[in-house]
This record gives sequence, C-alpha cells and structure tokens, in this order.
Amino acid sequence: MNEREKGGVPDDALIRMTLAGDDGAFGELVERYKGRAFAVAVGIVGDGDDALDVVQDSFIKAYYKLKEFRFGSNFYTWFYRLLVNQAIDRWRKSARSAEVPFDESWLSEDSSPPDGFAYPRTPENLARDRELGDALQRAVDALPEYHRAVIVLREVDGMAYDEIAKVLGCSVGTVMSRLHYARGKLRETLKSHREG
Amino acid sequence: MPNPELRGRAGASVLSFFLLLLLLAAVPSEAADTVTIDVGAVYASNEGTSIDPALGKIRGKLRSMFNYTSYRMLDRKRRSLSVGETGEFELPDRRSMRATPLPARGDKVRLSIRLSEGPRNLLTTTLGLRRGGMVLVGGPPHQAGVLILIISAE
Amino acid sequence: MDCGTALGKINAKADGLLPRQEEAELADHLAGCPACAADDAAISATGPVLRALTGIRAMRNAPALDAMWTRVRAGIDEGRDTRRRSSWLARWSWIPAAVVIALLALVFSPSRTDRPPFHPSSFEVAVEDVESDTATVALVDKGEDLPTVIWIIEDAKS
Repeated sequence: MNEREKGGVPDDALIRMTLAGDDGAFGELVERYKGRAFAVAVGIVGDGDDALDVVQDSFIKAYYKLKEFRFGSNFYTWFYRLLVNQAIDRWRKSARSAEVPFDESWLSEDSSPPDGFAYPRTPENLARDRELGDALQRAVDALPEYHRAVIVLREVDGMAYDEIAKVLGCSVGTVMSRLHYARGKLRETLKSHREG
Repeated sequence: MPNPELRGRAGASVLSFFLLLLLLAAVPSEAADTVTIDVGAVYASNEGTSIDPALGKIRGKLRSMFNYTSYRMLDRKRRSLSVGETGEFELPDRRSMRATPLPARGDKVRLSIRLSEGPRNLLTTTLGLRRGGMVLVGGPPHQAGVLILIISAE
Repeated sequence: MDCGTALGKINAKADGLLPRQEEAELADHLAGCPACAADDAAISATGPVLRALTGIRAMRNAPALDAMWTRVRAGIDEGRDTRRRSSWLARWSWIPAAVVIALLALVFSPSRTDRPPFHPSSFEVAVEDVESDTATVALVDKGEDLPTVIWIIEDAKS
C-alpha cells in the first residue's frame, strides 16, 4: 500500500499494519495526530520546545506499547493518556517556578490593542495584546496540573467529557468540577484585563 | 532444580545493592564556601535531527545559536570544589578541562578554566558568572561535528 | 434570577448543557446585569483565547512539528538498538560489568547524564581574560537571553 492510500485508512488498520512490521503506517498516525497532540502538550507544559519533546517521547512510547492497545477503543484517547501523563511529568521535572514571559514579538511588530473584539480570538490578534497573552499564560501555569489538562483537553482539543474522563482516569463529575475551577481562574484573568 | 536465570538475577540484585552502598559512601558531602561545577559535553552535528531531552531548557537556545541539526549529550560531570582547589574533568577525544574556583563576592563565581588536548593548550580563560549561571565553550572537532561544553556553576 | 444562579447557568451554557428555554431566561438576566454579562463574555472567550495562545506556539514551532515523524523514527531506531544491546548484556555480562562499576565508583566521583535537565538562571558572564597557544578564540555574545559562547578555532583546522 503506498503513502497516499494510507491517508484514508482507519486508525485500527494502521495499528495492525504497524504491529505487522510496517513502520510507515505508524508514521501516518504521527502525521494524523501530531498537530492536536502538540496543542494539548503546549497547553500543559507552556513551552513550545518542551511540548515538541513531549509529543516526540509520547509517540515513541506509544510505538513500543502498541501491542497493549485494545482494538475497538479509540486510538487518540489511548494515546492522549500517554501524552497527558508525559506532559505532566515534564512539567513537574521542569519546575517552572520562574515566570517565563510570553514574548511573541517575532509574530507582530504592532503592539497596539486589537480593534473591534472584546477579547482577541486569533493568534495574530492575541500576539498584538502581549499583556493579555502574558497574563493568561501565567494563569494557565498557575493551575494545578490536572485542572490544566482538563481545560486544555476541553477548550483547545474539544474533547468530550467522557473521553477526558477516560484519558485522565477519573469520573465525569471530577472532570466537570476541575473544568469549572479552571474556567473560574481564567475568567478572573480575562475580566481583570478587560477592566484594565 | 533451581532456575539458573532466577538465581543469576537474585545475585545481580544483591550485588547491585552493595554497589549502591559503595557509591553512596563515595559521594562527597557539600561544604560551605564551595562551588559546584557542572560540565556537560555535547556532540553537535548535522547527522539527524534529534535533540537530547537531557539538555532541558537550553535546547531552544542551542538551536537559536548554532546551525547544527542534532545535539547529543555524551557525558556530564559534576565536582564540588573549594576556592583554590583544582578539579579535572575528562572529556572525549583525549581532552580534559581543569577548573579552579577563584575568590569572588556575593553570589558571583569566578573560575579559572584550562582546556587541553594532550599537551596542547586549547584555551585558558578566567570567567565571572552568577551562581546558577552558564557559559558555553565549543569548537573542538568531534567525529562528524564539534564538541560543545556546557559549563555551569552553582 | 440571582447572580449566583446565573453563573451556574453560564457555566452550563459553556458546557453545552443548558436547555434552550433556560438560555432565553439567562439572556434576559444578562441584558440587565453588567457583572454577569462580563462573566459570560470572559467564560465564552476562554476557549478561543486559549486556542489562539496555542496557535501562536504552533506557528512558531511549525518547522520542528513538520519534522516530527523524522524525530520519532530516530527515537524508535535508537530504542531498538538499546533493547538489543540490553538483552545481550543482561544474559551474559552482569558479573564483569558489576566488577568494573565497583572499580569506577571507587576511583571516580559520580558522573551521570540522568540528572534533571539544565536550568540556567542567568547567562550573565564576564570574560576576564582568554588565551590559547594553538587556536584562535572568538567570543560570541548574542544578548542576555542567550548564553555567551567561547568558540575555539584550532589552527590549521576549520
């Protein structure tokens, strides 16, 4: 099967092909999920370089644990469990007690606030409002790890509550309470920025 | 008849335990007025694109500063030295680094560093940095790339 | 509707769990309560702003993300080599390996690459003097956010 045909192949089939010795099939899984995985990892660890390492290490770990995967369940839920645990471990080891300023000056030279939006909703608009980006990053970093994981999986990845519960190994009730706590903290940051 | 593999593993565990005790006994305890010097030897090359996670926060810095695509930590050594005491760090390719803490004030650290390759003096320098600070010394060839030393002082 | 109830309904709306009729009741409350309206705006914006924050990081790291399969494959190959070596060593060499480790532990100070990764707190360096008998030495200082580099260019080598 050539590379192009692999594009529409279901995850289960790619996993079977990988277990049969076709590493290219695993490459297809990497391509399929690396973007979402990166978004979740960077939401939890806060640093792009660390997030890349977390994603890389998680895929490598997934490759060697692939024989433990239960066919019929979702690959991305199973993989996200590895990813979130790697990300939280990395966060703990990096001990980001020193504040890392949000500096994305490379993206935009214009430092004036955005027009016409209560809050910036695109990367370009957010890059112009550096103070908000900085404050929000600090607020996310200050969340306990599992609360951070919940809000990232829900708000950034759009994962359903029962899937989040499976990834984190907790109940849907715990997911909801962590989500509300995290939202409350971020809400205060957003509100205080708007009120200036 | 006892399983030879199990007996072998049990023996390895017992020996490892005693070796661990030996290692712990050999570790020097930290004293006041000492400087702990940490030296990481990194192999930088254009072979592959992997960047050793052991490099931590400076991975991004290395990528910004150099054009190499791969960075691998070959070795990492740490010595606690009193002011005036010289410590020797063996490095790849018959090189070695000798470091001596010099008198300094406050949270500053001053180091006299000499990098040699056999009898050849590659570098002699005196540096002042903050405790927890870092400096890189690089350039000596290693295999298909170069060696970069990450020197930090605590 | 009091503000405490309204906040609960705002969260439920954000979760997609608020029935339509209650949405309309909430909208009425928000129209007359600036404080709750501000809460609603902030909670509704949480997702988009977090995604924008992630989007910035993703754009910055896009080239490395593109090369992710190359990196993963290199890691898998490295893992295979390590496992092959480990399996051979585990079976045949533990006795001589243990003796060598004991001797090294006695002669040398501990040397590990598995300590926590580097976390420099400062790149501020003052180079008081520098010399070499056999090389040209260059000092590279690209600002306080990057470490100072002493670069050795050995004579008769590039």
